[in-house]
Amino acid sequence: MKRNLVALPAMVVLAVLAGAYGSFFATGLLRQVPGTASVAGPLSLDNYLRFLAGGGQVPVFLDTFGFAVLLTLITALIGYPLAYFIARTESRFLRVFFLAVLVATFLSGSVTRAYGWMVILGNRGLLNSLLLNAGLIEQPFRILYRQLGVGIALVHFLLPFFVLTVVGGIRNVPRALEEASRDLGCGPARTFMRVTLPLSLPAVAEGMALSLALALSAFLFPLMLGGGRVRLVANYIYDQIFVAFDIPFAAVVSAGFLVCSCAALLVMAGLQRLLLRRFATGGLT
Amino acid sequence: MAEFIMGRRHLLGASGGLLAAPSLARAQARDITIQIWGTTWTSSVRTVAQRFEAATGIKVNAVTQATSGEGLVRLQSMRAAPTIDVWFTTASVAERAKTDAQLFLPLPMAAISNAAQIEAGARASHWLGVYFYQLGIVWRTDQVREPIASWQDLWAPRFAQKLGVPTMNSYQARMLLVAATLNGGGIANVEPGFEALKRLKPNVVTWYSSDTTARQALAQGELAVLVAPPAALKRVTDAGVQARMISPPPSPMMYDSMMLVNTPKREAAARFIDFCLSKDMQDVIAQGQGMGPVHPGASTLPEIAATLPKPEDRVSYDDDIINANIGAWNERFSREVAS
Repeated sequence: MKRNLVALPAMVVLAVLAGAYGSFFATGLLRQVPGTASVAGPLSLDNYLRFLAGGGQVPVFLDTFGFAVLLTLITALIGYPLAYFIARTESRFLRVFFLAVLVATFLSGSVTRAYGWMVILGNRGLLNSLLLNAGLIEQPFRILYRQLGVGIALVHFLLPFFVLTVVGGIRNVPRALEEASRDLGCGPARTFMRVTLPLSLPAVAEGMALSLALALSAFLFPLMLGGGRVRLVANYIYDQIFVAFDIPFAAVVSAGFLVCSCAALLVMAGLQRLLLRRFATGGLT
Repeated sequence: MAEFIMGRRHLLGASGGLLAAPSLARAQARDITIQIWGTTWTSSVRTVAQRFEAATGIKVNAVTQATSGEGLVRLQSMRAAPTIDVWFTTASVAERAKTDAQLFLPLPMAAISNAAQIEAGARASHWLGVYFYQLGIVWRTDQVREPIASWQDLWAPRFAQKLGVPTMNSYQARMLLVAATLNGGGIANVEPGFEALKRLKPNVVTWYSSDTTARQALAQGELAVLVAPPAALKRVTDAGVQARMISPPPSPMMYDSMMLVNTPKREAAARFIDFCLSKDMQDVIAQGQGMGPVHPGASTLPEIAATLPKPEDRVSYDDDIINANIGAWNERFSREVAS
């Protein structure tokens, strides 16, 4: 009984959230009054049938999921060594410094960061100036207003979430196990591959799930840095509401996207379980 | 418990008070709230609001919106008890919004005496234009040596990777309609417009949806040419950039407008709308914005006046047709042109 009472606040919050999603499903049963911003009955499944029939949103969904998975992998590849360094460095100064840099990115708003990336990635920006001055390129390399620019900004956005999640996981790997591995003749690389990495994989999977969820819902960076060329599902939903004023269809797309995102995260959770089972029986070979 | 018995006199008094409450609220409004774009507020309307308060004692609070569409959805979300009294929006979105009779009121023209003074095109049953503007071509003179003379110039190879062009939701598809008109189509046949925009792709650096971001890109040199209203010329030249503007035919004309929201402060709100349309405030607004005044007696900055198109070059597109099609056009644009 006491345990149930403790869970009550969480259950209330979840009920409110579920209610909000429920309103999405219900709004999708209405229809837009043509030429207006109003919605009206009668209730029908037309918007759901339109969504299931595919059309404009299918390529946007595919692009979004493909892009989000790619960004998650890149974030993991860059983030893991960083997390490992922060977790295992002997220097307290370096650990605090790197953590402070990561945390500092949380303190600057997304709009500020987007404008910062415009200054850095533009044709006349810092990066192109450096490459031109170094003689590595003859013409400015177009990064801004392309998928590449959006990707760089998003990886920068995702990195702290991934690293801060994984640092704890690596620190929880007992050093005694790594020392035992070395005592038994394994070199540092083999120790890492057979002990540290497998035991930190649950944290990696958590960090990747978090990164994937954030990448899937990206809105601002594609809008500001994409030059109209990068359109993810959140931007598509925004257009349905604020350009077409078709709020019922936007609600259906949102609900559909929620289902797809949950499915993607469930796949990741399944993958995590598979990996854990694999590495628990002997690590990487 | 003490018993309270209401006598006939008290009852009559209380009933009268209840009946008079809404009109008292209207008469006693000491402040109103407007919903407006941030740049429009800071560039000119804030000054107008200060003078309105000095003249009437009614304080004007501002709530900003990123786009008209966002502003409309926000207003709809507070339909039962709106906290916004005057809404600034584009005329296109105003035409769509006015169908919501619960949220927006027909303008009491008798109480807005200046409405009769402004140009006829800026006057409608539910909205009044606050300034007008055209979509034209702004360019940096340090990056474009040979001046631009027509819309067709934008398709020239010399402008490869130099242009900033509005998306479908910026200026409500006017770029598509210009492209269609130039190529034998029009609002009833936008096919040539889509084909022309596809041919324009190699020259486009960014299809923009934010004026501020686009102007900044022009000021930073990321773009050499921007398809934009005259306000862009004012902003970039204010920032010290050497720029010019041309408004070639067909020159699509648009209004930003004011709508009256259904609130108890409607009388004070109507007074503010009237104040914005006075000759003196039209000077402030047009010159602050770098746009054209709707009051014939008012004037804008000389450099902006020089960009205004000749009357025979001006075109207006039917907002009802645009509103009926903008969603489909936007999807097609995103799929076939921008991607």
